[in-house]
Amino acid sequence: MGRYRKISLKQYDWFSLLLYVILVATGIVLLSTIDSVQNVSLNYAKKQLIWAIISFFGLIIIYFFNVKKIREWGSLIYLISIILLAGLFIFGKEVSGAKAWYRIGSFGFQPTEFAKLAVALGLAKLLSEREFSLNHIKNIGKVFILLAIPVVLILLQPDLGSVLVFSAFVIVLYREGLNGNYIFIVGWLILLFFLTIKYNAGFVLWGLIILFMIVATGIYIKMKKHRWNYLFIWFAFMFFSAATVQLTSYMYHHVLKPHQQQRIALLLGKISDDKGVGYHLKQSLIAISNGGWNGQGFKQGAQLKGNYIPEQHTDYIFTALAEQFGWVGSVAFVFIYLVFIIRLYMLAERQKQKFSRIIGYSLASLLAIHFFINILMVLGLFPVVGIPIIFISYGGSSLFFFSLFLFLFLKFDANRVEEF
Amino acid sequence: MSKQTKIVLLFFVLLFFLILARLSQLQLYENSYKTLAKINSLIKEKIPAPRGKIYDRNGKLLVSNQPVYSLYVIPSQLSSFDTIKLLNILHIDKETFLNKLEKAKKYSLYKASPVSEQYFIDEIAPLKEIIYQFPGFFIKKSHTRKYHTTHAANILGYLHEVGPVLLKKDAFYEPGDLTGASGIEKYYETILRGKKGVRYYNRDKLNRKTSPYLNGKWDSLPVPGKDIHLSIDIELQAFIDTLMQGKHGAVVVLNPENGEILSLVSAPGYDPAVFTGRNKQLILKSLLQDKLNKPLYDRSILGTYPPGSPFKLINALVGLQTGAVTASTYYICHHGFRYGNRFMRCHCGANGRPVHLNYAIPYSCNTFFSKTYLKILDSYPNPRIGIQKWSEYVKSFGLGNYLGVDLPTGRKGNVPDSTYYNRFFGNKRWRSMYTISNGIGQGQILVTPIQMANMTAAIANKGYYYIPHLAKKIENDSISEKFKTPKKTLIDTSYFEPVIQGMWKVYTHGTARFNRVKDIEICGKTGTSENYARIDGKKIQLPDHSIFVAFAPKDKPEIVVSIFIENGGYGSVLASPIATLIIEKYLKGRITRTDLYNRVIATDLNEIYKYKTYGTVQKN
Repeated sequence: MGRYRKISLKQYDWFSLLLYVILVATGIVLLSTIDSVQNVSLNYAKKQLIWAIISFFGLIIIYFFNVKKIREWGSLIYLISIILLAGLFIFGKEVSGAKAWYRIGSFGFQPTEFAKLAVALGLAKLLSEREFSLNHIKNIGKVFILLAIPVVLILLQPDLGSVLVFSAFVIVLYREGLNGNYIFIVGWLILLFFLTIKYNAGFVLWGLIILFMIVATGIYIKMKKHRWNYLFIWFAFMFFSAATVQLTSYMYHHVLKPHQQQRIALLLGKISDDKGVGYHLKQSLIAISNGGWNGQGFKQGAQLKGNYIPEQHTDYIFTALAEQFGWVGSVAFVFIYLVFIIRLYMLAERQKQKFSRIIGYSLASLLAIHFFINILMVLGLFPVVGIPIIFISYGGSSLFFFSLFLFLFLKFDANRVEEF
Repeated sequence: MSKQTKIVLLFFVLLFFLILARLSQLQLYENSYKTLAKINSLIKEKIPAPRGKIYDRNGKLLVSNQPVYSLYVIPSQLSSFDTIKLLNILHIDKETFLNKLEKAKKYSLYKASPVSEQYFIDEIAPLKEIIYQFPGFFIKKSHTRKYHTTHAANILGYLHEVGPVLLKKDAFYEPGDLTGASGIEKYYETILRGKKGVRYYNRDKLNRKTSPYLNGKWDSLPVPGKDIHLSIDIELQAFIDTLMQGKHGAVVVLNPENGEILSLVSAPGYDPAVFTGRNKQLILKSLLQDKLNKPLYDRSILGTYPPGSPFKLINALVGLQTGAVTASTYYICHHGFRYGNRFMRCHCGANGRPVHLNYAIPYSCNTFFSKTYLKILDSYPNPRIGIQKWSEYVKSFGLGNYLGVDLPTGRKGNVPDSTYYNRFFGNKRWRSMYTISNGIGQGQILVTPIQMANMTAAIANKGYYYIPHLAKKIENDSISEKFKTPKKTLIDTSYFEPVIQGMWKVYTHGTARFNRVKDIEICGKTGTSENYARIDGKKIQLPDHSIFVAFAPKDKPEIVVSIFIENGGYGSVLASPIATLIIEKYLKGRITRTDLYNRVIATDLNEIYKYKTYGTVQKN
């Protein structure tokens, strides 16, 4: 371990920090417009601002903190987060059907947000061990267990949205050398699973048959050598797919109970529920559409003022932006966020250490998954799940831990020339 | 940059373009959502529609509407006010009031919720003048029911405030709306409620409505609910109510020609008007708690009883159909008969003489019908097939399943089949003898009074029935097709004649010969069913339930009556006279036997009911 050396401020990536400040500020401005139409004082903007200031102190602490230690503490931090998640079942407070909160006085803490950071650290620690390769099945098993424990605990809360967010780590594993075919096959099976439920087995099977015919014809014409080998592999793959479809269909219709079926069907938009999820989405689309070319104006808009959108301060915050600032504002926002994500990926790529690269990659991927799922959801292109936009949506735990996450990574980045 | 990162970033850039395309579509091209946003920016006010009226078969108005006033609150507009002054006018206590406010806030801060409801005009007038002193509150006029009869509450049903479940399920309703809670009001809710009108207003900064939007171009007027004419004869219903005073039980009167229900009485009844006005909750509670009378329990459609002797008619028919019995079949009856080590008693009086079908029905011979029943079952290879076939025949009379009456509740009753007895005794561990009570309508068979009336109608019609129903005519609409199509029984028409002759003999020679009516040929069947109650810890036999079914006239039936009187004693004592009085009243329009009428009215069984309910320790 080398001696701790102070890093000058110049070495920080100021571009990411600038984008970060712009995003957090945008979030607080949007929250203030939502507050302005509430007759009761909820003060989301004010509370978010306080959290932003607390996060700023996090920046100062990390500035003076020897981040090299973090690597050693990776496993410990991971363990603490697991204990906190498990402790929810005993001490957790139930809010709208999920035990996802610790409440101390008026202060609420969501361990799931902490877990996102902790799992990233744990994963980075594991993957950056000497001689660790993702080509060994034993190592894949270790990674699987590391991810599965928090996922199962969160699934039991139950918080489906956060579970989905953990798919961000699959991107990290992909970058670190996990064979893309595995991911493709798992992704393909999940796709078949949802298609089978959303439409029906017969429909998907016909699709498979047509796909089989087209590709088989292609193989027959194009491949001169080993033609029959390829055809056999292709046939086996499609047969396996068809079996999955049948099994899914059977499980869904005969094993699941009606209320479980309904939940999945609702999630996939198979049945609409005009007062619940369907209602949220419809009002969301109305608000976005109402934005038009350049928006209804600051603190204006029928949907905003009529308070038609439930959870507008969290999951549906994009609708407030889209209605007030229109197409121009929405596109600019999405573009800035995309640039932010790309910048973080670039920073991650330039790391010399595997550990800090994984930290950066995890951060960028988590932000991207949150962002894209949320935006696609409010645009009606993805099933409705509760996922906020990091740094924008209201939420103290989320803002605090992701800020810490970002600062930590930027410190690593500033340190990258140093040998650990 | 690694290859993988390039792929990931390429994917995200593609997603960016997808989002771009969707945003352009929604914000630059799509207009339908913008219209919806415009509607959302307005204040939408729904105008309630007057509820459809209810008439009886002769066009007599039974139920109409009257204005009533309710106090509503919009929580977001509340500011300080004189609570005591408000409570004094409303006549409610502080706790209920605060509860209601809390509920309103929970439902919505911006939408109106009811605080206190159902004031008649003179009750609310003092508040109307000073409502400006209570910001956030307003008075809304709506309608409640006005009743022009004190009878038929079990048929008409009542209205109650729409609950949270229905409010969520059906977008038609807003908090404080009334909806059918039971009876016709519930079953025909969608027909009676009509369609609400809509008015759009512009809103100002403080969410208050200003001018009508586009001068009312989008507004629509309410469409009143449709009127319903019931098949009920309210005069007959009232007449039966009078006959049934002092007794507990049910009377169902049908027109077998079309299945129209002429009267549906559950005694004791209550005045339908008790559910209007502000004290309805209290009254509902007291009615629910009335253990002695159980007025809210509609015995005519919910009470299930063993049918007793009238069920022998069905066994006779099944026997004739399956060939187990013919006109020349006879059994010898010695005040009953012995089976196994038990004895079934019989009061037919034919001691030692052969009993034929034409004697067995009027004198209700237990021996004849028990043996007939056994013979039906034993004509099949085993009792399991036998009882299965038998139950198919029985069920074709509308027994053992919901009839499909146009009321929101009902009971299936029970017609046992082989599955039932396999569960009861164990698979293959029973013989036909074990189920012998079915032969005389005791045993495991259970029917409701309306099922029994329907069964009698099927006999009167010689083999078919129409599903009993209460709606005769719906304004600008028609009653359901299912009420217009006859349902066939599995018995051929020719087999009904001997049974109907037997039922006629009940009045000319048999158990009801003292209740004959001049000029009307009545066919009937008496019945009793034993009943026990656990009183003061002991099992005590109470007077039998009195059962009676009848139809008239014999050759062209116009009326079917089914009567069930709890602890009414032997069928011909109380049930039969009531049946003949009803038939006479309906067919002739008046009654001639005033002595009988007075005797029936004077019969009061309340002592037995009190004993049954409270035991020997009398509670006032």
